[in-house]
Amino acid sequence: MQGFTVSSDNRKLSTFKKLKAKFPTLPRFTKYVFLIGFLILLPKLLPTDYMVRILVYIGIYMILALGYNLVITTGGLFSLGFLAFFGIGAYISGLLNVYLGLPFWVGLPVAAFGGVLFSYLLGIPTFRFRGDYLCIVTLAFSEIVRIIITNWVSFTRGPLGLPGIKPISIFSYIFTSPTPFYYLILIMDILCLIIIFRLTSSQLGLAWAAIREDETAAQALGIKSVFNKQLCHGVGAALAAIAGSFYAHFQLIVAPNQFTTWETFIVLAIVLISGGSAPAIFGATIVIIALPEILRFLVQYRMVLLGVMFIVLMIVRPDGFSFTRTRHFSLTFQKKEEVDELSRSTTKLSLKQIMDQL
Amino acid sequence: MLEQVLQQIFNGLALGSIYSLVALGFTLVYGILFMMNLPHGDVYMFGAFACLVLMGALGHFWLAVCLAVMVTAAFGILMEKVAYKPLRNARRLAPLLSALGVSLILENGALLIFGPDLKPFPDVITLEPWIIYGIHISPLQIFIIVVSAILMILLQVFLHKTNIGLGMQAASMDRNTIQLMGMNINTIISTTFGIGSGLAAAAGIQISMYYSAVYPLMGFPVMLKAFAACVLGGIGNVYGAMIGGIVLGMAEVLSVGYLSSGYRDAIAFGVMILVLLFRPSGIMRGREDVYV
Repeated sequence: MQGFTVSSDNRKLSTFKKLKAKFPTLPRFTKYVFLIGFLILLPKLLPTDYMVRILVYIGIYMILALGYNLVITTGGLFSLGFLAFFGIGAYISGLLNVYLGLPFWVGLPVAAFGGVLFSYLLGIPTFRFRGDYLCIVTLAFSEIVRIIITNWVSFTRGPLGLPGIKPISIFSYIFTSPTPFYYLILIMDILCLIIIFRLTSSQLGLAWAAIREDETAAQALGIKSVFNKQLCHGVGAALAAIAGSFYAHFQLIVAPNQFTTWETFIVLAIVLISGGSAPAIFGATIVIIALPEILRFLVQYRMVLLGVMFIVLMIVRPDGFSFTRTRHFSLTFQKKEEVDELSRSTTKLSLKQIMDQL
Repeated sequence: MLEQVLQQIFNGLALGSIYSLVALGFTLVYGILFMMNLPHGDVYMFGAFACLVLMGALGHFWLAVCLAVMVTAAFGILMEKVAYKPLRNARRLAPLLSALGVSLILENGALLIFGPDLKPFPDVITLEPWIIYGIHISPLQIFIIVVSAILMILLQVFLHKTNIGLGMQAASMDRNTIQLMGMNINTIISTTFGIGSGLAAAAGIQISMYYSAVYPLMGFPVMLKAFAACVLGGIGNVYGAMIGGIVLGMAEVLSVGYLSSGYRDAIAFGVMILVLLFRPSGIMRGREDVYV
């Protein structure tokens, strides 16, 4: 069919749709109930504590990846130094605990606040510029943070790291095994997903998407560019700092070599592999974090493969696997095969969603 | 006291000329393609290691140097053809990710092949330093300054007197019109990458001679400093890159001498952030259209 065509997801029915067809009267949230039930039972099903530890790491990196995803996919800010906020959160929480004896529940909000503060300071000179400047300046900033942490030995014990952080405790119940950490991070993950979903579907999220798509046009419509970029990056940095705070109290030690640019590239890979949508981040995190545990022998070559993956990804999908969720409307006369090809390479919306938007 | 300051300034001049060479390659690429050449530091490292390997294979130092520069230039051209050329018309961030990929491959490949430790680089210029008015001037530093100056002059001659050089300048002004004028943009971009990579290789070899060591991760801070030098001098501006590099080298050496050596990398980044705050277009007024 030539002419006006709208991409739609009608090629094959997913399992959920088949189930829905069979049980049309179940409420919509049934699948979430199953998922959450499975997640709650998961630590009991796994044989070793070590596997539960891996789950906790997945949870921590999920919050970090969600924050990074917010900044890159929703905000369009290609920030390469994002792990600095993870490190800042971990160090703030750790230092408060070691020097002042403040517990996790005090360190967490202070770390989040610290993340936002440093994000704001970073943003003052950088958000005036285009994306290419942003990536190197943020990279430089994260290097500055790492160098300061490494060299300020009197305060942060430098490269020796900061041991002796007390684990999390609720009213004198101390978290000794990984399992209570797992439940806590599960709750935090769900909260983060809810927060991000609410943010991105609000007016603020729309403003961020507008800035990402075309900054000049957004400014012409009255959206303050620097302010919104600061806000978006600040929320992302706060999430990273929260993840960092949790990380510090889980690992019970922090050291500057845990927060290098390599780790940034790992989290960037998570954001890239996922389609930019929050649930996909879950899968991508599992892949990136759990896979090296399973494929220990590949660990040395992991980064080279990552590099090759980046290049191939950009050549095959230069317009972004996850950067912009553009909806392609074809208003020109195009052959059906071309349109099918086009629609296969974009994010699918159902016809109903499109009609709702119009 | 004055001797100390002059000594540091002279040391900074030597280090700064090395940074200028790297910054030149960086700014040339940015001027034409508006792209941050993230693997530029790794190309610098590639040049140093290529010289090391070639010297092991051939035994003759100066022959190895020439070959290493040529090999690195060829590698730069290859890198552009594989990783950047398919993305020339894609969205702005696509070549950045590809650049990240190349950087990862180079750095981790070198880590796998050579290991993370410092590898010794042979001392070729072993003459005693001269002492003039109390300043230690080593022949190696003179060599570095002179060679860098010669390379920069050659580059200026190339840019202003040859067809391709003029094409490079024109391409940095308007990439599309130059194709209408009948020049082959592929040749121009390949030449840009080749020259930039060759200069980076020369810089890498010089710094390996200066410190008598190479290691796989030496390129990463240098790439950031090259960017800082470009920002300082005005990005896209060739004279700016030269001046920015020298100023940055002096700032680094002076801060190491009078502040603390652990923060030497952070000084360059701090300078860059200060420049971005107060004079974003740089000393020589680079591109104005990088603003939002």
